[in-house]
Amino acid sequence: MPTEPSSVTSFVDAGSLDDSKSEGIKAPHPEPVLACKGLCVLLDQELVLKDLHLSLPRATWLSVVGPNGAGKSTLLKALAGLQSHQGEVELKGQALKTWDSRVKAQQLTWMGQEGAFVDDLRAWDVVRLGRLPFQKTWSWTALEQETEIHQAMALTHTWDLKERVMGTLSAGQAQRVLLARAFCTQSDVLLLDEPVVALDPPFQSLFINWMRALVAKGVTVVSVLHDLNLALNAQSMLILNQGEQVFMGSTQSHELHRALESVFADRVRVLDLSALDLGENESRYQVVLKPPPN
Amino acid sequence: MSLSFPIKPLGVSGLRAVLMSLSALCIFLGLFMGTQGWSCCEDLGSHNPMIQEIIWQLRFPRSVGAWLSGALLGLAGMLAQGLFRNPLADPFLLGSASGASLGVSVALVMGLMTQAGGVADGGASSLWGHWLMDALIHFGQAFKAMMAALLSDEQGALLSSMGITSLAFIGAMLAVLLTLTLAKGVLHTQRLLLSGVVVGVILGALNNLILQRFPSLLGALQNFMLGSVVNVDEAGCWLMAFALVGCLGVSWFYSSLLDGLSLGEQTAQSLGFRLGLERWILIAALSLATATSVAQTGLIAFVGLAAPHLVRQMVKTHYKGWLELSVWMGGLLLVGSDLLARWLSPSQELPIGVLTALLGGVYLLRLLAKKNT
Repeated sequence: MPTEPSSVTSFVDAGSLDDSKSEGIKAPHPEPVLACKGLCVLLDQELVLKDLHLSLPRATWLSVVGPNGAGKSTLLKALAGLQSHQGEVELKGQALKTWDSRVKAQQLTWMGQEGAFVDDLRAWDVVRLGRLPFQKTWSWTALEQETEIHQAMALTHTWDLKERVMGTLSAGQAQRVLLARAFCTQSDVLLLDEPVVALDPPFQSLFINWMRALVAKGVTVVSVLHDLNLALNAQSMLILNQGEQVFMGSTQSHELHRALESVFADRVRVLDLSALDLGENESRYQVVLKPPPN
Repeated sequence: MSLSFPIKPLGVSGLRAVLMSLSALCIFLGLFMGTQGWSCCEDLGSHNPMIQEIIWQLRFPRSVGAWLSGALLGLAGMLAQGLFRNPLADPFLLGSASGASLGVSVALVMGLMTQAGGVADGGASSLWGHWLMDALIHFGQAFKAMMAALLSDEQGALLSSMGITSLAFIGAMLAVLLTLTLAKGVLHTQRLLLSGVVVGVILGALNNLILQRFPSLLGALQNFMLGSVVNVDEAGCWLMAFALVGCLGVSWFYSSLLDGLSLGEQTAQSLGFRLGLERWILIAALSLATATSVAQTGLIAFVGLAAPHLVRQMVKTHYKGWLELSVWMGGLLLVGSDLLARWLSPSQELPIGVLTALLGGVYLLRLLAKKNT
C-alpha cells in the first residue's frame, strides 16, 4: 500500500504534464484559456443566462457564487459545451464547438451534480473514468494509467477506499472519489459544480490547498460554491444573480464584498480579519450570517 | 451477502472459468436427457443410428441453442442496464417482445390462410378488421407463391417455421425502430423508455385484434410467448452464434461508453463520448441480440434481467468484463433451466419460459427485499 502524501507538494511535483504542455506553461500565454462572449442560455422560454462575458487566463481560480437559480450550474455546463447556448465560448482561443470531443475532454474537465448510477462500481473504477479521454479507440487492452489514478486518489485520501464499492461509501467519501475522478484527467481547465457539499471541515480546508496546487501547476479552475467562506479563498469571484453578472473581481476587494452582501439581500456580512494575527494560509475575510430582526 | 454461490471472491477470470465449465457440463448432460428420462451413458456409445441421430440432431442443437439464446439475452440485458442506467432494465424494454409476438401472429395467420385456402374462422367483426385480414391473407399468399417459385417442395415444407422465425425477427426490429422514431432518437432516456412502453401496448393491442379474429392461433402463439428451445436447429444455432459474436464484439468496442454513462449522461459527454452515435450503435447491438434470441426461442423471461444482476453482484469490474461474463451467465442460466425442465417433466414439454419466469420472479422478489433493507 503506497503511503499517502502528507501535503500537496508531491502532487505538484509528480504531476508533471507531458512535454508539449509544460513548454506551453513556460511561455506566457497571450490569449485567455477559457473565454465567453455574449453568452446567453434559454431554458424553457426563460433566459437563464444573460449576456455573460468572461475571460480567464491560465493559472487562476474563479469561484462563482449567487443566490439559488442564479444560473451558476448552467454557466458551467455552457462553458463545458454541455448546454446549448447563444454567444461564443472559446477554449484556448478556439471556438468550443470546433474542438474534437475527445481532445476537448483531455483539456477540460467538468464535474457536475448528476445523480450517478455507480453503486456497483469500485472507487478505483470511478476514478479511472477520468482517464477515458486518453483511451485509444482501437486499443483492446485495459486502460493502464495507474500513476495518474494513484496520484489523484492519494491526493484526495481515497487510495485506501479503492477496492470499496461506491454504494458502501459515505457521502463525503464518495464526493472525494468523484473529485479524484476530475483531478486524474490532469486537464488544463477544471469546472467544478458544488465540489465540497459533502466534505467535512478538514477536507474543505484541504480543498483550498488542492485548488492552490492546481493553480500553481497552471490550471484554470472555475468552481461553483455555496460556502461563501470557501469561495473567498479563490483569487477572483463572479457574482451572478438571475442570470446576470452582478460583479466580478478580486476576492480581496471591498467592492466585491459589498456586492456580495447586497446580492444576498444583506443577510450576510463580510468581516475583515486582517487585524487578527492569522497564519499565511488562512483567509483574511469571514462571512457571517445576519438573520433579520424578528 | 446471502448469495449461495461460493464463487464470490473469484475475479473475472475465475468466474469465467466456473461459468464456462458449468455450461459445458450442462450441454454434455443435455445429451442424455430425453423423452424417456435420464438415459445412461451407453447412449453415446450406442451404435444404433437412431439414438445417434437423436443425440446429435435433436438434443445437441437444442442444448447449444438454449445456451446461445440465453447468452444473447444476457448480453442484451447488460447492454440495456448500462445504456439506460437502470438496474431493472431488461432486453425487451424497447418493445421488441410485443413486436416479435405480432410478427409471429402475422406469420401464423399467413400460414393458416394459405393452408385453408380461405377464411377459416367466423364472420368479420368490423369492416376495417376485415380489410386488415384481407390484406394479411393476400400478402401471405403472395409471399407463399414467391417462396414456392424460389424453393423446391422439400424446402417449401420448412417454410412455415422459417416464416415464423424471420417474421418474429422482423417484428422485433421494427418495434425497436418504431420506439426510436417515437422517442425522436436516442438521447432522451425517459422518452425512450416511455416510447418502449407505448409501442408495447399498441403492438400488443394489434396482436389481440388478430387473436380475437383467429382464436385458433392462440395455442401456437402461446408456445412462442412462453418460450421454447425445442425447435432450435443447427441453422438457428449458427445464426445465433454469428449474432452473438458480432454483437459482443461491437459492445466490447464501445463498452467504455457504458462505463462513462454510469456517472451520468452529461458526464459521459464531458468525457469526450459522442453520445448520440455510440448510443445508436449499442442500441443496434442490443436490438439485434434480442431479436435473434426471440426469433429462435420465443419470449424467455427474466434471463436478460437476472444474468447481468448476478454478474454485477459477483464481480466488480467494468463493462468490458461484465458484458462478457453476462454472456456466459445468461447461457448457463438458460441451458441449466432447459436441463431442469427436461428433468422435471421428461415426457411432456415444460415450457422453458415458465421455468425461467418462476425462478427469475423469485430472484427478483429477493432482490427487492434486499433493496429495502
